[in-house]
This record gives sequence, C-alpha cells and structure tokens, in this order.
Amino acid sequence: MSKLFKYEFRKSLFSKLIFVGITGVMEIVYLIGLFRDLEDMMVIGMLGLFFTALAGISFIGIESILILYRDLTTKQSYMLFMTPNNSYKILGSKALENAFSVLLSGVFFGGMAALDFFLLGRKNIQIKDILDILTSMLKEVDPRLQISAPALAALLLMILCSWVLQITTGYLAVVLACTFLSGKKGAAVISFVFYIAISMLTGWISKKIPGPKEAIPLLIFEACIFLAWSIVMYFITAWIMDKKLSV
Amino acid sequence: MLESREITKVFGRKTAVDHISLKLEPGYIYAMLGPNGSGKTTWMKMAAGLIKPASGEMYYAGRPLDVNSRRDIAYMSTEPYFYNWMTAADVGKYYQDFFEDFSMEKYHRLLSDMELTGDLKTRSLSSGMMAKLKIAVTMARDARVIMLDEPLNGIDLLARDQIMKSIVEAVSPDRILLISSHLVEELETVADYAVFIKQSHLIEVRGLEELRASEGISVVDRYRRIYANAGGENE
Amino acid sequence: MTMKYNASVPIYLQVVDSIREKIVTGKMSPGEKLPSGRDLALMYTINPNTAARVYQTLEQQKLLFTKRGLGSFVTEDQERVIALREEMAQELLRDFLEGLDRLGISREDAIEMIKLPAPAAKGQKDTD
Repeated sequence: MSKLFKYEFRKSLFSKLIFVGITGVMEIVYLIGLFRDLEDMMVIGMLGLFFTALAGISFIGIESILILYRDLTTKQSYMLFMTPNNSYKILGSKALENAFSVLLSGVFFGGMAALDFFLLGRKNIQIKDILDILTSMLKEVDPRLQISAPALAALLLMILCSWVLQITTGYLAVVLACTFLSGKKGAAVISFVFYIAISMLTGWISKKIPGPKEAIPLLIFEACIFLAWSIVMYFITAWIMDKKLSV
Repeated sequence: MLESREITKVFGRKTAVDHISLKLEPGYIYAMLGPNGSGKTTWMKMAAGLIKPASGEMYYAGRPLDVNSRRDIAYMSTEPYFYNWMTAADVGKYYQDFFEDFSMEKYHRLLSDMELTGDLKTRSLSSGMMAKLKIAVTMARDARVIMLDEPLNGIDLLARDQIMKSIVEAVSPDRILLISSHLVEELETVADYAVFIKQSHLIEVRGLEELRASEGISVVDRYRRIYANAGGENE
Repeated sequence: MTMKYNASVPIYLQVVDSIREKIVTGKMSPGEKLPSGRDLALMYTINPNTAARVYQTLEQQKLLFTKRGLGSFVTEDQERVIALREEMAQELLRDFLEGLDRLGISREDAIEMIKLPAPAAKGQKDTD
C-alpha cells in the first residue's frame, strides 16, 4: 500500500510544489515588508499568505477528487486496476494521501502563521486589528472561545477534518457517477445532488450526537466526528467500487 | 487455465459480449479474431478483471477470478495508459513496484531490442514507439497469462518482426498467450488456435494447422467464410 | 530469415520441406547440429509447438536424430540423404507431370519440351 501511496502523492506533486513556491514568494514579500518597515508590502505578503493557504488547502482536496475521476474514467485507470490491489487499498491510499496532505498543509500554513505573528510581535507592531479579526472568527464559532493557541489549533483541526469529510463525500459522489449512474443522462447532476444530500444528512446526524460541554474539547470532538464520517464514506465508496466498478 | 462461463457484458443497450464460454489452456498461442467492435477487447478486459461481467463468471486456475489473479495475468490494452509524467524508465519502475514477476533486466533487454531508451517521455512517444513500449513492459513480466490487445496496431514492418519475435519467445508450457487482432494474416504462422468472435458471440475455436491439414484452407479463408456479409458492429 | 508461407498448407510441412531441401543441397551437412526448437521457431517466425512438430516429422523420416540433452542433428546416413534426393525429385516430377496432364500435353511432347532450352520467364506473377 505504501507504493500506491507513493504514486498518489506523485500525481499531485506538481500542484503542491506550485503552492509551496507561491507561499515562499509571499513569505519573502512579507518578511521584506516587516524588516524594512514597508507596510504595504507587509500587508500584501500577509494577504497573499492567507489566500495561498486557503486556495492551497481547497485545491488539494478538489484536485484529489479530480484525480479520482480521471483514475476511474480514462485509460490511466488500468494503471491502478490491473495491479493486484483491491478497491479498499486503491481508494484507501487516495484517502490517506489526501488526509495526510490536507493535515500537513494545515500544520505547514498554521505553523507559518504562528511564526509570522511571533515576528510581528517581536517588532512591537500593533497587531490589535488582526487579533480582533481572529477573535471575532472564534466568537462566530463559539462565543465562549477566547483567543489562545490551543483554541486556534483546535479550530484549525476542526476545519481541516470537515474538509477531509467533504473530499471523501466527493469520492463517493464520483464513484456513484462511474458505477450506478455510468452512461446515464445527467449522471453529473444526480451525483452532485447526492453529494449535497449526503453532506446534509451527515451534518444532521452529527448534530444529534451529544458532545462535551467545554468549547475547545467540543471542537476536537467535532473533528473526530468528521473523521469518523470520512471513514464511513471511505468504506461505502470502496465497497461500491469493489462490487460494481468497471474501468 | 483461463476460462469464461456464459460470460455476458452489456453497455447501455449494447451487448458487447453475449454468453461466451471459452477455455484457454497453457502452452498455446490463441489468436482472438474478429472485426473491430465484435467483443474481443471486452472479453479480455473481463479476463483482466478490469470490467465486471453482467452475468456469467471468469475463472482462473479453477477458481473465480479475483484481485489476486492479477498477479499472474498480464494485460496490454490497445490504447496507451501510462501516467503523463512517466518516462520509459518510470514505467518499468512502476511495474517492478506492483508485479513480483516483473524482470527489470528483461525489460531493459526488450527496450533495447525495440530501440527504445529509458529516458523517453511517454507523453511524446509516436504511436509506434508507444506500441513497442507497451509490449516491452508487458512481456517483461513472467506472467502465466499474457493478453495482448491489438499489439500490431500502428506498427511498422521492422517493429512488427521484433514484436512477433518476443511473442514466440514467450511461449512456454505453463503460459497462455492470447493475442487479438483484426488483421488476421498477422498471426497466421504463430498462433496455435484461432478464436473467432462475431457480433459479441463466440463462433468457434479452431486449430490452425488442423484447419490447413483437414480442410486445406487458411485462417483467412475461414475468417472470410465466417464474417462474409456481416459487419463487426452489432446494431 | 523470412519465409513466405502458403497459408493453406500446414506450416510444419512447409518448414519440413525447407529443411529437407537444405539437407539435400548440402546447406546442412551430415551430423550438423540443428537449432533448438525455440530457435527454429524464431528463425522461421513460427509457433514453437509447430517447430517441435517439424523435428518430430523429420525424425520419423529418419532425416535427423536426437541425442538426449544435446539436441537434434542431421542424419549421418549418406544413403538416407541420397534416397531423400530421389524422393524429392519424384515429388517434383509428379507435380510436373500432373500439371502437363491438366494441360493435355502428352508424355512424348513433354520429353521433347524438356530437351529444348528453358524459355525465359515472362515476368508473369503467380496468381493464387
């Protein structure tokens, strides 16, 4: 399975390198702005980093769904399905690679943000505005949350895990389109409707599950729920592939 | 032994393979013959485990075909299927990563026989070079079943000789070779048996020498008799 | 080597004929080792099973012998080779006479024709 994982990673290596490259450029812009006291450059760098992180993490997930679609519908599918690996391993390597990449990018961008804020603090620059934005973000999620490293880390984890669930749900939609709906009119639309319906259903069921009372444990609990759902999606998807998929 | 029992595949309204029962024995080269669209590729893909039958079942070594059968079955499709980023060397590495019966040494020998080098990018290969690369990587496996779908498509005369040579070399008492072609004469001298597929049905399996000895006719003659006044497509 | 085959005649017989001719004309000498079945298959681009049958047939005709573990060799029996030449000549003669019979040419006329110098080929192609 490590070999499948290696090739999955290879498939999205190029776009990941591009995001790392853009991040590097933005970081340099930010640091020059910071140390030369060029406020415009600093702000550009900061916004650039923020949007690169957002776009990067979003893109990694969407690309993973597109790669799955390509691996099921083009001749390249033979590369996977002629090897002695079952659907659970093939999809599993994709899901793991993606979760790993999403979480790793989260740590990467989160770590950079922490470092950049730290440098900002060292320069004694007023960061009240930024802190205000972050605080209001936290309040949006849970009014009890105070700004702190654990609160921000827990929030990041929860967001990343919810994104992983979106992607695994996307896998299920793609596999439905390539199996039961294959060759049918409007397969794309129907599978998209499925995707929305499944997302709503998992959200609705999740709300019914009682969690911890405190704010930060609740975030971590939610992250775990998202991951659990992702695993459920993975098993359903791999099972359908195993029983129904022709490439 | 590779066997299909009453195997059927339907794509939408089109029945691509219709209740074909066919048994292939090791030690022989089978030429699967029929016009384009007659169901040869679909049968092969079911034997390779890429396509799931609508009904009937495929058996390998006496057991229903499963994921593990792919360890022993090598399939080469007509169309290129390598990842865009791969070089010929990457393709070999990929096969080595996934198939225990793959020999890197044999792959390199076949590549040089075919006048290809490892640094060639699969993305920019001509169709003839791609055909040779696919053959080389498939034949570098010491597989019990080797299925080549239209291996001579888009191949020039000299490369054709190389490919025929590698096919003859691959014959072994414990190996099944199945080669499809819509160009019947190509396999005339090398195949043991001809499997005639017409409009998604199996017509017959005939020994080629037997056909020549008992009826004094060539496989081409037989082909003409079977397919006269019939197109390949089933409408 | 590329050999042109008649696709309606068993391949093994055609390869047998080709080897018989080599033995008679001395292209293969008595006691000479023959290629392995697999190499023969590669040389003639034929199926290895067919190649095995070629050797089987030649062995039955006592034109080659097999030493266990060493391979097949052309017969060292000179008389067998002379007899083979005779057999092949008879076969050609039979085909020739049958052809003339079909054209309605009498034996006497045929003998006269053989005595004349061979006419130059007109470059007509055999249509099969």
